[in-house]
Amino acid sequence: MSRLRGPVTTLVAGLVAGLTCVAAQAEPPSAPNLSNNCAGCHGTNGYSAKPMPIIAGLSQPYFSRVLRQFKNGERPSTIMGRLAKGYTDAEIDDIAAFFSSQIWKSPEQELDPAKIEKGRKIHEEKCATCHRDNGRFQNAETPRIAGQWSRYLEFVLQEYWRVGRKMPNRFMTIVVQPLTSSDISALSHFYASMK
Amino acid sequence: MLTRRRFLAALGYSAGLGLASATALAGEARYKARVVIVGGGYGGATTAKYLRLADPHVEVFLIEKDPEYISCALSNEVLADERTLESLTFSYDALSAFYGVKMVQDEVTEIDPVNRKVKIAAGVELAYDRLVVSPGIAFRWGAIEGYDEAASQIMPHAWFAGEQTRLLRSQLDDVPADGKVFIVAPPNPYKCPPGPYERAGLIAHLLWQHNKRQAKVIILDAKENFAKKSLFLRAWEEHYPGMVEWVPGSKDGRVLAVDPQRRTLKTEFDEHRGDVVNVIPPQKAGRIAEVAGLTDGSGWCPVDPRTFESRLQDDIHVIGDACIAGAMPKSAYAANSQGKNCALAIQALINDNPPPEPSFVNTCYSIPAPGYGISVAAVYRLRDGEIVAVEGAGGVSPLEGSDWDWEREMEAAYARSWFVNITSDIFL
Ligand SMILES: Cc1cc2nc3c(=O)[nH]c(=O)nc-3n(C[C@H](O)[C@H](O)[C@H](O)COP(=O)(O)OP(=O)(O)OC[C@H]3O[C@@H](n4cnc5c(N)ncnc54)[C@H](O)[C@@H]3O)c2cc1C
Repeated sequence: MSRLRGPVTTLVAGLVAGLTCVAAQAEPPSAPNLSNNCAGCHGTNGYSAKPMPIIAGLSQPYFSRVLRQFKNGERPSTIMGRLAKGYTDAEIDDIAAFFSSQIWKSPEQELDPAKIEKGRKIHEEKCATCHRDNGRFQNAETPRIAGQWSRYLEFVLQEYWRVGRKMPNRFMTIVVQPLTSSDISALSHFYASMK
Repeated sequence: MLTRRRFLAALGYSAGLGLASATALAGEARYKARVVIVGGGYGGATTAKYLRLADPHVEVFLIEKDPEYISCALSNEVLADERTLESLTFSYDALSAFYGVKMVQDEVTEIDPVNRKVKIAAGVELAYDRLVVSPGIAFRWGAIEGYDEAASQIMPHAWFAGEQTRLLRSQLDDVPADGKVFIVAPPNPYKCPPGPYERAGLIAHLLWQHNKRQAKVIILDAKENFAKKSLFLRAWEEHYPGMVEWVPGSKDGRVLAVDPQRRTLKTEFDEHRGDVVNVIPPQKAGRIAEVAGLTDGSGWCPVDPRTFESRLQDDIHVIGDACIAGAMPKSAYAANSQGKNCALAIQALINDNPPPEPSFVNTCYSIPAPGYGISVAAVYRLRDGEIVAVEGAGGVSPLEGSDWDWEREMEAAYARSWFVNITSDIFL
């Protein structure tokens, strides 16, 4: 069953609560009531402008997992950690369901062909095992990165690259640390170019 | 943007109808309700778009007095030559073309809550089933003795973006190398709590760039504290050591009177003369809110925090800077968040459903120096009929950290990206 709460389920839940005299705790906000607030930074329905990451069409398990990591501090951030702490795990799952029900769209962006080619080689050599299908593949551990904003991909790769920044995925750290900053830029351009 | 004639055509009347249009016009049958929104800023324009997205069977009119919207958010960057006013200017075309919002460019002069009609300057009336009022703030002219609209031509407030921003920017060219710029910061509540302090940093940046490093930016404040204070103090020290000075109310910071001709400011015990004086006066809800009887003794509009329906008038919702929204600050992000929740509440009410449980977010970025961003954020919920910040969440950028410089750089990039995203979320 979809976790999106429509008016009907809300009504049923209300009736059940009334009949069984369950606590007076208010019905939690619906998925749109929660998720629309994200659009202030991530664009309407999650289709963002750069470099804010596109979140429309990310897989639900990945989205839920990453928001939980922000919430409990496992994944460093500038602001997402502070915001994620404002939601229960069930609400996080509702928000994840809302954005994963959108269809991924890759925006047009200006990219450097030379960097794309260089990035393709690094991808094939070091990244393709997990980021299959040129970064289009996604599951609970792997985000879709094909068609993401290049500047955002660069930010995240730099986070993994920086010595001492406590990142959640050890394997990523091992792969990224030996890269040069021009490698990172090349990879970002390559994935951004994959629609 | 529709002209008045085309606006009438949009209502279903052919052009040239003349005076007969001065009577209230009935809603079209294919709509189940008509919602009229006054004010096409961050709050009103958001509500218009999200209401049409939520329910295309609701007819939405957006009445805005200006032909385009000029964002105050990020207008401080114009003062540092980091951005143009054009980049802050948005058209309403997409709202009408893509979302079917009926745009009217005119000023609402009266609201008749009993007969549910608004009067626009032309003498035309428009009936509504529900009205949303998002007029922003107005100044309490005269609250500082001598500071009125005429004075603001010499001592600009630049608290509405546009001509005032341009005026303040051009005055800054005339500051001598060891000159003084005063910023008079208002008492709470006011639009954009961190705004005056971001401005101080960016003005210092401009003076620094122009090699006027002996010059001073002095904030005379009515308050004892301000948003993100420790972060701002650190930013000023890191970038413009000794240039920015903050004087709280208890240290004689409260400005009582101004003399625009002499460019002087009077506090309780002192008088200051500035080469440039930026007065951000005390504030209240926008004029139409007052005229319509939506304000209480505080000068702001009390609302039911679930629906933003006025506590003083039926069927009228007030959002954005003009309303009293518990713990939420008067910010663009807050107005956008309230607009969306208000749209879903109105959709429910129109369809005879109970209004949904709301959830709100605010994020205020400030850029006290180019490439250097700081932020404050919160998630809000209803608790016992009040909007409160969720405990344990939100807060300001941490003051320490091994990645300090890099995080400031990222926050500055995200701040600018926030601006593009929120304005697309509203105007595209
Ligand atoms: C210098 C500065 C920097 C800021 N920076 C930020 C920031 O970084 N982040 C942030 O979140 N916020 C920021 N803000 C605050 C933000 O601009 C306001 O909180 C926001 O604009 C509030 O939206 P609103 O819809 O309530 O009002 P407004 O955006 O002011 O919109 C009101 C609209 O109503 C129209 N109007 C009023 N009366 C009538 C009438 N009678 N008839 C027809 N039309 C009418 C006006 O023309 C206007 O377009 C800043 C503000 C300033 C001054």
